[in-house]
Amino acid sequence: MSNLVSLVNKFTDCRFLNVGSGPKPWVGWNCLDELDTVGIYSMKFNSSCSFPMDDVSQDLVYSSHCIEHLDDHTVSRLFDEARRVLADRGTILIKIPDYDWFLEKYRTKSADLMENIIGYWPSWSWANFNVAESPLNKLSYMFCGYWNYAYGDHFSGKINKGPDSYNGPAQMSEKELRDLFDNRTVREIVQTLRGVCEKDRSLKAFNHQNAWSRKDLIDLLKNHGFQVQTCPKDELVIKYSNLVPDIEFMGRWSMYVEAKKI
Amino acid sequence: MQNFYQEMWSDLSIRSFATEKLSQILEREKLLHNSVNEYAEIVNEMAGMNKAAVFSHHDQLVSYFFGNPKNVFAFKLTEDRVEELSAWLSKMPTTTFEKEVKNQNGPLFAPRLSTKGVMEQLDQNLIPFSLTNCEVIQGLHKEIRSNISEQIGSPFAFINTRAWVTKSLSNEMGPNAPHKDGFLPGHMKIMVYLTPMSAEYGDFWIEGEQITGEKPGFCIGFKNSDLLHSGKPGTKYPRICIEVTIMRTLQDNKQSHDSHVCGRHFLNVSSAYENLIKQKNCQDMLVEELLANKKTPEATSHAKAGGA
Repeated sequence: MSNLVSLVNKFTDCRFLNVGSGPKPWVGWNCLDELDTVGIYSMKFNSSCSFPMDDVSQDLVYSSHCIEHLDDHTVSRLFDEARRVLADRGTILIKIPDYDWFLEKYRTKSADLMENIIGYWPSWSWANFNVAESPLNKLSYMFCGYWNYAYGDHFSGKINKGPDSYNGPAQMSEKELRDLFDNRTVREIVQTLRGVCEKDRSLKAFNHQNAWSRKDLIDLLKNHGFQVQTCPKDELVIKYSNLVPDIEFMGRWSMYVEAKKI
Repeated sequence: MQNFYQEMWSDLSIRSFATEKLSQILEREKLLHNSVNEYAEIVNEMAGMNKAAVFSHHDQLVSYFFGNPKNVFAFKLTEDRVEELSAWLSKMPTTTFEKEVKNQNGPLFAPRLSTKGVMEQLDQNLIPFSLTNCEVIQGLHKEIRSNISEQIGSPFAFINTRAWVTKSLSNEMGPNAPHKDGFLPGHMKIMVYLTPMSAEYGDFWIEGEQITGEKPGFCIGFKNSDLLHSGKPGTKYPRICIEVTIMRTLQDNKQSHDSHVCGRHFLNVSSAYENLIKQKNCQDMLVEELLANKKTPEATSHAKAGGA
C-alpha cells in the first residue's frame, strides 16, 4: 500500500523522520533512504548530504539499523542534519546492533552466540572463499562485512549466486579473529575489520562498516549537540510502541539511544 | 422477480413500449429546453418542477421495467485498484470549490451556492482534486459496475466522478454534516474510501449508523437524496475519498465528459443517452437502436439481475 501511504502523507503534516527507512513508507512519517521507491525520499547518504526537510520542522528523528552501514563522516553529517531539522527539544532515537551485548556474549563463551539473530546469512557465498560458517565469522560479519562485484547488490536484491560471489566477513583466520575480539574495544575491532575488507580489490560495497559501544554512541551524540536520555531499554520500547511502527523489530539484540536536541 | 424482469425485457414488444415512452420523455424535455446552459434559467426551471418532472418520469419508466434499486449496499475494491487510484491521485492537481464553481460549461448541473461563505468554508475543510476523464476513472467505473449491477437492478450511466481530501479535525459543515443531496430522481452515489474507515482517518454515517472499521477500498452505494448521511473527518489523518454519481437508465453509458468539482447531475436526461443520439444523429433513431433486437450483454445481465 505504498502509493496510498504516499498519498496520505502528501496531505499530512509529517513531523517524524525515519532515516534509512527501507522500502516501505509509514503514514505520518517522512522516510529517507537510498532506495528509490514510492513514498520514500530517495537520497544518497554521504558526508555532504542534506535532508529534504526545513529547519526545525521535525519532532522526532528515528534511525533503525542504518548508521552501522555508513562511514564516520556520513554518520556525522546525518547527526548534524538531524539536529538541523529537529524542533527545539526534539528527539533523536537511534537503534543499532548492541555491540556491547555481542562482545559480552562472545567473551563469556555463550553457547548460543549468533543464534537466532537474523534469519538469513549469505553464507552460501562464504564457501566460495573457504570462509567457515562459524559463530565467530558471523560475529565478525555483524561488525563489518562486504560484498564483491560478482555478488551484485544486496539491498536491491539483484544478487548473482555465482562461484565468484561473496557477501561475508573480513577474510581472516580464526586466530586473528580471536585476538581481535578477545582484546580490543568495539571501535578498534570494527576499524581493524574494515581495514582488512578494504584490502580486497573486489570489494564493491560494505554491509555493516561501523560499530559503537553504548558509550561511544552517547559521546558521538553529545558531540553533535544532543543531550542523551537515560531510559531502560524495555521502558523506551514501551514509550515508543504506539509511535514507531518497528520499534521492537530486532529489539532483542539491539541497542537504543534516545537524546534531545539542546 | 428476477425472471419476471428478465422475461419482460426480452420481449420485443415490451422494449418497444419502453423506448416509445423514453422517446416521449426526451421529446418533452427537448421542448422544455433543448439546451440549458444559463444558471438562472436552470434554477427557475427546477423551481417550477418541470425539470424534476422529466427526471421523475424517466426514473419511473426505468423502475417500471427493472424494479427498484437497493437503498444501501457495500462492496470492496481490489488492493491493486486502491494502489492504482492512490498513485493516480498523487499526481492530480488540487483545486478549490471557489474556483471551480465559476466553470459552468459541460452537461452537468453545478450550482453556485448562494449562501455567503459556503465555498470558503468548503475550501477550509476539503481539498478537491481537479480530474479529467481518463483510463483510471474508466477502470474504476468498470470495477464499480461489475460490483453493483445486481444492486442497481437496471442499466445505468456514470454521471460524475469527484475526489477530495477531508482535512483531519475539520468542521461539521457541508458534506461533514448530516444531509440529503436533493438530486433529481434516479440518481445514486457510490463513495469509494481510499483511506481506512476509522476514527483516525475518518469514516461515514448514514441514517444513524456509523460505517467504520473497514480497510482501504471500502465502497458504499446509497440513495443519496433519500437517506440522511454525513462524512466524518478523521482525528489524526486526512480522509481521502472518491465519489461516483450514477443515474439509472434504460441503457448503460460510460462517463464520456469531464467531471465537475461542484457537479451534481445531468442538466438533461437526454445527456445519459447522448452517445446513442450522437451516433445516430437523430433522436428518433434512438428508438430504432433500442428496438433493433440487439440484446446487448449489458441489457440482458441487468434484466437477469432484476432489482425488486
